[in-house]
Amino acid sequence: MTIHLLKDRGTPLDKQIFTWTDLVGLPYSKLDDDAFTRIRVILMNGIETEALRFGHMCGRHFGELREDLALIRRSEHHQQTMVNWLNPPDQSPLETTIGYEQVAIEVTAAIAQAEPDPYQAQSYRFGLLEDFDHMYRYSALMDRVEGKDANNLLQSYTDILPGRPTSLEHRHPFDDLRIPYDRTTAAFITKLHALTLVAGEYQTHDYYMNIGPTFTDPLARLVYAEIASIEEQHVTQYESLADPSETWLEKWLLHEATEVYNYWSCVQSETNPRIKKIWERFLDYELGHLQHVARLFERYERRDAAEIIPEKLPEPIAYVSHRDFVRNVLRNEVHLSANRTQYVPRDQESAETQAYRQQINAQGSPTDTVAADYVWRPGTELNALEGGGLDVPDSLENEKIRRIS
Amino acid sequence: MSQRPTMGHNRTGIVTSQGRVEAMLSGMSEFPPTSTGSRAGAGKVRLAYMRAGGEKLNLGSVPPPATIKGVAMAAVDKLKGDEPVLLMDKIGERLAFERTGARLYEALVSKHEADGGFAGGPTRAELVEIQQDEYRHFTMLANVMKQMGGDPTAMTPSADFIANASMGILKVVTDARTSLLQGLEAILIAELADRDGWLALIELARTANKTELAASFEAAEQTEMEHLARVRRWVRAGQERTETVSVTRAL
Repeated sequence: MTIHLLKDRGTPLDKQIFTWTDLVGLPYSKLDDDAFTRIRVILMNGIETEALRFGHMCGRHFGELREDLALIRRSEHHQQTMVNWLNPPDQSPLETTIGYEQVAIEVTAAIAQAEPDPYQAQSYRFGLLEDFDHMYRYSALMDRVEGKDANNLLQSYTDILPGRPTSLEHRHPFDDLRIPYDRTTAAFITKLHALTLVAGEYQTHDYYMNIGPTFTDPLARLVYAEIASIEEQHVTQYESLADPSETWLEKWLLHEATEVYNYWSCVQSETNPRIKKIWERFLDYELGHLQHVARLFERYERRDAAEIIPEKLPEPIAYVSHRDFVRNVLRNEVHLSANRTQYVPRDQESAETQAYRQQINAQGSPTDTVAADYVWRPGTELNALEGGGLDVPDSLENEKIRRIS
Repeated sequence: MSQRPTMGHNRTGIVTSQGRVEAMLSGMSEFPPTSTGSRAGAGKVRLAYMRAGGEKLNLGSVPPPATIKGVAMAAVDKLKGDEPVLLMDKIGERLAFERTGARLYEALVSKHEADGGFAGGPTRAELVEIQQDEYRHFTMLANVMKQMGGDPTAMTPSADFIANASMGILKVVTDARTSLLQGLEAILIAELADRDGWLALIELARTANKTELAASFEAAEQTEMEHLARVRRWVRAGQERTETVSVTRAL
């Protein structure tokens, strides 16, 4: 299916209608659907939350647009509802968390490989290794506290291995800011990538901040608090990749194009026919939004929308396992940190980051505690312990775990 | 941490909000309900969703046999009129329950270390012993699943819904603010359900003419019965109950 971004009219705004039962349909199956269906649902929820967030901020700054923004936001909100309610209720918050991190790994890996700008691609690889480590820590939490296997969700597409240790990811705020792309020279796909990932990371931050306090286990509460802090760093990093000199309308246009691109990518790869129909429906809705915003852009900025939006979409996001790519990045770049906008070996970190990390980790790092000596095994780590993991430690600090191999 | 409740500043009831609750009630006649119908509406909505889903509506499926041998065994079972899918689903359920059970008892050990136990309550070693039993049952079921050609790492539909049903137990046991006794009261729910889970497995194995399997399940069920008796005893001691209900009624 070929999309002509500025020609395809999509669904007109007045035809984008819903009912409550339409919005709240039956979810996908946690057990039977492919993990990439969950990945797409989670990412598209993030894309829609970003659409709403941006629309509200834009409305506060751009009075003339507030009616158009309100109109399109209502549709985006209901699209988000239909998408997010596809998550099944038997999927616990921690299981959904595993899904969020799988999004952060597989989608970021896809984007890092497709990104033509070397600095931006480096930024994605940098963030990737940090989310990769979060997956490992949450998997340990799931095994050790709930007695469950994260791989039931991952379906062996994504490794459960340590990445850049979360305890070392804490940096001074200035060291999370990056060099933005140049709006006049950057490729269209570069802009779509930055918006896609900031959307994903922002919703991840908000999700952890909402569900973190619902856990009773003190270590779980600590782990969510620590990882949510890194997600805030990631939002800072990814949003700083976009050119701040883009006008509000230019950014709005790019947001709508990002939504078109993402729904179109989902349509290309979806294996659940019922959910594919939702992606197709919302692709048409977003084309309707894009047309509407293109007209606004031309009216207010007296520029052709084609200056910003090309005729055709780039290649879709590759919804496949990127295991080999991720492992290579892990081998080659795990030692990196950031000093202001540059990626540097850890021994070249800023004094501010070193001081900040020392302070925040002064009483220990919960993500270190939760995954101390953790090696994932199918089913549970207990399967790899000599004597069947029967040695319950006298105290958690003095745990001595002996492995068969 | 005290095992006993204390009297304090609980504000949840209407007695502690006297004056305010009268004001709340005074608004009822002036502002009656605006939606027509009755509370039966919730049931109708559930029914509508269940009907809309039709025959295919479920949490998911039991995975196909993992090995050629498993495919063959399932085929033979089917010819004999046995139901290998249901048995595998329930083995998957018990397996997951026991694996989580091992972690629950680990959390109870932490509580014991914090509280130091109470008169008539468990020793640390006793909690560790049950943790070990839970783990042994998990590994035994994992091996059974493998022998049947199934995949012990898969989450079956029953494993899924029982994990959700047990979520509250986990929440109580891992909460730093609950006492050892409260943790044991939560575990009691798990042990009661566990015993019945094992009884069901025995009956299912016998129904499928798998006598050896039924025998190994019986041994586990005996152990679980002991767990239940011990937890009941500890809870009774923790609550300092002196009166007893007859065994027949209690069971």
